[in-house]
Amino acid sequence: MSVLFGVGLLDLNWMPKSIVIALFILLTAPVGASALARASYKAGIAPWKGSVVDKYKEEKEED
Amino acid sequence: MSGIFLVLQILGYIFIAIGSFFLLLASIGLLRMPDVYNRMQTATKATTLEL
Repeated sequence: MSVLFGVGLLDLNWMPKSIVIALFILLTAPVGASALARASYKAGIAPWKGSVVDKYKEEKEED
Repeated sequence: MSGIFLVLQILGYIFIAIGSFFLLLASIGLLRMPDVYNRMQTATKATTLEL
């Protein structure tokens, strides 16, 4: 977001394009990451040994 | 007229410098974090806010 905004400020013709790109990244990157994390948890990859809390497991046990 | 563009250019370079600094921090975190989830967190946060 910051780099895209900077590029848009350097050349104002690129500003609309970079704003659109930033919006799409802002929408898609967290969704993709959460899908990847959930899939890797379900595939059985264990969290780090020093992890304190596992909310996903607690939520499953409640159901 | 050209002074405004000079200010905009300086601001743009400052933004690019901040963003690339945080991307560097994200890559260091990607190397140092212990497991998949922490690494994913650093990479995604940097991609969302800095790119």
